[in-house]
Amino acid sequence: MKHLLSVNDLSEKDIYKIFKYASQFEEVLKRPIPVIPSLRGKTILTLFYEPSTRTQTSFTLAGKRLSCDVVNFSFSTSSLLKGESLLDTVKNILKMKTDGIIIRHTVAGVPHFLAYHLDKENIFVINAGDGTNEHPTQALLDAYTLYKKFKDFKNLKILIVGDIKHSRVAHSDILIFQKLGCEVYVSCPYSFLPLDFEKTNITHLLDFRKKLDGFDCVIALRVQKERHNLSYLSSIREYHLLYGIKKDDLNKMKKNALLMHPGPVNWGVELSYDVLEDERCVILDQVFNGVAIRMAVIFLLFQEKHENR
Amino acid sequence: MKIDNLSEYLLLKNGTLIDLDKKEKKEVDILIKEGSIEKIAKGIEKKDKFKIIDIKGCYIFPGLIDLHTHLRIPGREDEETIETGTKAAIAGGFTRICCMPNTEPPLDNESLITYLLTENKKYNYCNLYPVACATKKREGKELCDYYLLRNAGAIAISDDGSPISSSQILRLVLEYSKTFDLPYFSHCEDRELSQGVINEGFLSYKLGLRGIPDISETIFAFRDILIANYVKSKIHLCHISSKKTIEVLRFLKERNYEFTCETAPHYFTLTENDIQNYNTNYKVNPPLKKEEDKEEIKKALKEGLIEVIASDHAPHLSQEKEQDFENAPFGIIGLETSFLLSYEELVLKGNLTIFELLEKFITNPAKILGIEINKIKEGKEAEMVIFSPKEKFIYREDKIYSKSKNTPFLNKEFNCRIKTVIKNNKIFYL
Repeated sequence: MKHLLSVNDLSEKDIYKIFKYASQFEEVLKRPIPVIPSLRGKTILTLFYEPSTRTQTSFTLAGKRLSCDVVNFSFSTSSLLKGESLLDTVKNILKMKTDGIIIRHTVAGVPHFLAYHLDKENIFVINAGDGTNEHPTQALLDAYTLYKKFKDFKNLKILIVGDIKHSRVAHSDILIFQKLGCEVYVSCPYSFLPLDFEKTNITHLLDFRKKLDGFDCVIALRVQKERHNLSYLSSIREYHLLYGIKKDDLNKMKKNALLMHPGPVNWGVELSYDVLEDERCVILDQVFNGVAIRMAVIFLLFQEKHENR
Repeated sequence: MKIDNLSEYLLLKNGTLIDLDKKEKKEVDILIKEGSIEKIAKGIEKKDKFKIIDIKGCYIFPGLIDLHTHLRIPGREDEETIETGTKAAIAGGFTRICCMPNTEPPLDNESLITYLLTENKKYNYCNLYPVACATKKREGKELCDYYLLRNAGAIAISDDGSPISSSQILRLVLEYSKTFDLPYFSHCEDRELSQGVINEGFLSYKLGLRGIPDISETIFAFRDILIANYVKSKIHLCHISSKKTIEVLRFLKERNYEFTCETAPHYFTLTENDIQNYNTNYKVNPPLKKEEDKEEIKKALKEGLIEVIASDHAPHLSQEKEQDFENAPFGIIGLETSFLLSYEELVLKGNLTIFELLEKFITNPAKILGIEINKIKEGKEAEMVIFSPKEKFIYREDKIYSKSKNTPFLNKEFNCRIKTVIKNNKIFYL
């Protein structure tokens, strides 16, 4: 693993290795002074071409807990949006002498483009979300949250509810859960289902409610109001009625099942307010696990870099 | 129209039952007890308390289904009401009708669907199946709440009266409607192309009227079927009227594209040449076409390419219809004449058998809507039409049950007529 661009870059072994490190870094995060000096003197750059607070903050924190210098180029302050081409960006990054970059972009494949050009310079690239393509660290932290609860993925049944077609979280989640041997189901109206989705061998449910008692984990996706217009739906009211997870739905789920969401939640849309208090709702645990997972990913990419030298 | 509640026992003597399954006619007596068919046999014995109607020489078949009625409710109760509209349906042999959503306000929310169904229950002449809007206000921009509409009783969706001009919105409509298994009824018209009042050609030039190119329908029919098949959603094309469209439909059918379509009786009984003296009772949308189009429609009906005949019943006030050809609204009433016209034009002239015709009025519409009909079998609810294939009938203004009288068939002499209809425990004598 020289870069983390897609869940497909990871073997099952890689994933468990990341979990192992994440679990050790969790210990670090719980210390009074949650920092270790492993990456002192190293620099990573976060390039966020799309507004995001939590993912960028999570990566920044993860780097800093490892004593790595993290420099943020964000959407609002960056000159990169002012007409600079991607190749210009590459050249700039090379001159800045960083060790790795973390990129989020509105267009699928941009992290791959950067990785292609930065590879020979031994600079790693982490995909922090590229358009409607992938978000591999989210998938890792979702899987890790599940792993901590169940210790094993075999025979776990996972339901993802929402915009399967445009959600990079859904895309990466499906890849990782299938790789780990889970049984994955999705539920959404057809306007949210990719064409030819039957080729994935994933069961599409129009109405998930009848089968709720069979799932170990339900992942509600964010309705991406900002990414594409709402014309895929008739109304928020109807979406919430059909696909919003409510207290009644939690009541039908297993006692030890988990309810996850990549955040930030549109309350009253994909989740109703009354699910937050339920102990099976682990949205905030996901945030904590996200830092540990990202520490592990950054750490392991540096380790790989070192071995390659 | 005399309407009676069914007596405890009703015996229909000597009728000719049209069996749609076996495709055979047989002379039988039918005994109806408390609204259900008790017995079908030859020579059922009379008993004292039986009410008896001798229907010798008449056909008996299940109630007809109309996929395309403009009931005008809510908003234009001056043109049609539930009472007059459903009576007109019964008078035409229809026991079930789909009403179109281009009302004022349009049927784009579930409360209007509930309203229509509640109102219809007050009369309960025939079953009403509301077709809800595909997009809000029929503007072709935002999807309606199909789940809520379906739960309220909508049977299909359509922006009828208008096409959905944006291909992307149509795709989303079809994907979202597939989620709730609601068929989309397509009004095929390229609005940018069809800015006229009659079929474009030498006649429109001669009359000095703005013409609508026949390809306006063809282009959208082709596009709509392609999009529906791309996302594997159900599509039904309304009021197909032109030869070119049929040629394209045939091309697609041969390549296993899935769709259904309907035509209306005026497209195989009239042509643009019938437009005399700018008579606005011949102004319909899509416009009447040429002789060759009319013949092609009959051919497509025979082939089975067109599976349904629907009335496109479109009532308008005479004050609105009786004005210049440009400004008069499109549309004619049709519930009361659709079956008679079809029988005369298609069956009596040997184009279709009575069985083939009834498929287009009963079996196929039921299939498209996904509803079960009451077959004329023992144990079934009595829902049937008694039709005389011989009796003369003149369609005079005082015989029209619809509140509006805009029809080109006024004073037409038919050589057949609907005699009696039985539905919802009522018997309607015409």
